[in-house]
Amino acid sequence: MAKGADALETTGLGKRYGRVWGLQDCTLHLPRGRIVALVGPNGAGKSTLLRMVVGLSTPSTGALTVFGYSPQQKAAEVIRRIGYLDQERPQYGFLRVEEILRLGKELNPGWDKALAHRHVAELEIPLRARMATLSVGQQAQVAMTMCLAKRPPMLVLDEPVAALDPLARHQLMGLLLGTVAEEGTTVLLSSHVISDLEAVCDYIVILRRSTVAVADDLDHLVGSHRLLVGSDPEALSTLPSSTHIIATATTGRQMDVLVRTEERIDDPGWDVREPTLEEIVLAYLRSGSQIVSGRPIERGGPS
Amino acid sequence: MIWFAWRVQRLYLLAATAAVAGIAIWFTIEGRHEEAMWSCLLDRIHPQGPSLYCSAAWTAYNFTHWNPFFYWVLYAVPGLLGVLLGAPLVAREFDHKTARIAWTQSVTRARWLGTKLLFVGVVVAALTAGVVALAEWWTGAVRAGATVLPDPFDVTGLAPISYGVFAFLLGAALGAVLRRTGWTVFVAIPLFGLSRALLRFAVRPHLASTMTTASPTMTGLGWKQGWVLNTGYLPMGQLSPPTGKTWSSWADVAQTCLFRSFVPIGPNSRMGVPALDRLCLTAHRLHYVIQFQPQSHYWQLQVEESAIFLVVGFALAAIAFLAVRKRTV
Repeated sequence: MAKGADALETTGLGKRYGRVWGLQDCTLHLPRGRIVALVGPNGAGKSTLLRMVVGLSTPSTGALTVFGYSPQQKAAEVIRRIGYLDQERPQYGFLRVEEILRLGKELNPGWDKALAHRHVAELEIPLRARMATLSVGQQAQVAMTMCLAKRPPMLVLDEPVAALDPLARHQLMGLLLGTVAEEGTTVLLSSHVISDLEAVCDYIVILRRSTVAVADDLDHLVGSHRLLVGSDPEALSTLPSSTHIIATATTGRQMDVLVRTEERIDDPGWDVREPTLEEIVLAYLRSGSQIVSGRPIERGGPS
Repeated sequence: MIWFAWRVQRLYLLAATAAVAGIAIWFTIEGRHEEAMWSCLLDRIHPQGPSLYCSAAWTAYNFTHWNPFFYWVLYAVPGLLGVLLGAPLVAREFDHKTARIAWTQSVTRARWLGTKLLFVGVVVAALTAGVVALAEWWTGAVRAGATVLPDPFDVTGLAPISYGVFAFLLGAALGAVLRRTGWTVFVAIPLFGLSRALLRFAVRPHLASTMTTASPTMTGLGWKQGWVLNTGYLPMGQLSPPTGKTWSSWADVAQTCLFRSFVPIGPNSRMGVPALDRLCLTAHRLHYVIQFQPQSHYWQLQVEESAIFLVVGFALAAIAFLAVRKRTV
């Protein structure tokens, strides 16, 4: 592992599909040991980014390194450090669960057989069952077990909980957190279920229309935003100058304004409270503003 | 990794082995049946000592009554075996998107493809070798004759194994490029047939220097001697057509001589007098030339043709490696 390198570094990374950009101008520095949530609507470029990280797709522009290695030039160094869960969950449906685990053992030198078998036993998945006959939830659990038993320093999970019922979702996240907590594993997971992420992640990247809207520490992100509720549009002009308006929404006479500020807001015209992560994410997805690692970037002003 | 290559292809490999075993059983039953039939027949005709006649007749039977259907089966097996095991090797992993699993474990794509190609390639070679052994037994009697003749040449020796390996690598490479198993089979089978035809008809005759015999009138080449490539009447002293002429340039003259050598012996009958034909041809200063590949060139031709198929096969394997290395899935 290249010494001191970030888990993931991208510079001006872009991927073009014909005339359409799947991801554009993506610059990120994700430190090691963080649990990073990648959020954004469908088509925002989440899978495009993750597939480039693991080398299944090649960038059209820019560059990226994983632990200091390029997935294109040093594929062997990259893939053995990543446990990857594909969004579409492809599988060898004709293989039995025990055979899938053997496959993991044969193809990964660091394979933790005990962990794999323990997980499968805990989840009461029969070893003799063929993959195609398992439920969607069980298939996801086996796929996740494959990722974890590889014991990689980084997990790249594309929509790990999509299409799962709440119980299976809870189980899967439990499996993930239970394994990575003591290992210091870097996790990069994408999701559009924002409510699940708050308890799990400590870093968030919001993708919007193929570009990075936000990349920030989760606590810092929540702590630096305020939701203002008021009824007088004129009061917007009296806010401190260091305040950035991210998004406004009006319902009848009530106006909700999400702002980013490092200062306290004491204006009696506003009812001030801390927003939820979901409110912040939705505000960024609706607006045109952009912040990357705490540095606000104005782009077309508030909308 | 070998276990993985075996497990993913297991169904296909077992089906191919079963198919070859089925053909072996069928050929054995059929071959022994004919053998028994002939010795029985000869016993009745020559009760005083059948064995010598039996082997002679069995040889003649095989040479003259060789069932072309068996040849077609023997032709088809290396190609079908190779293409049907090669096509899904890579294409199926794209079809089912399972390449995304295989390529995100700890082994490189090159090792993944290399192991699969080597393991399944060896199985294809072994199965084809089994079919060759069968064909060698089946053509056992004919082997007294010239196996350099195209039909037995194509099903004996080393060449069929190289056809099998070539078909396999062709299927694998096309699969890596086309990414669909069905299309790969659809394209690979005609391509394989074309390659075989090209080598057999256009390349093989020139792989070794040819031999010629000349005689005053038309004669045959003993079927033990070799594979006839060209025959014709040429000016004496020439063993191949001079520039601007072909093997049939003097055919008209020769035909006239032959026609004139049939003399009338009654109102409606004529009798051929070979001496007249010979005199006529000598008068025109023509002789009959046969150009052929002798039986003694059998192994040279086998080795050279196999080498061509294997070299092209390895080039195809290189294409498969390139396609897989660059592939986005």
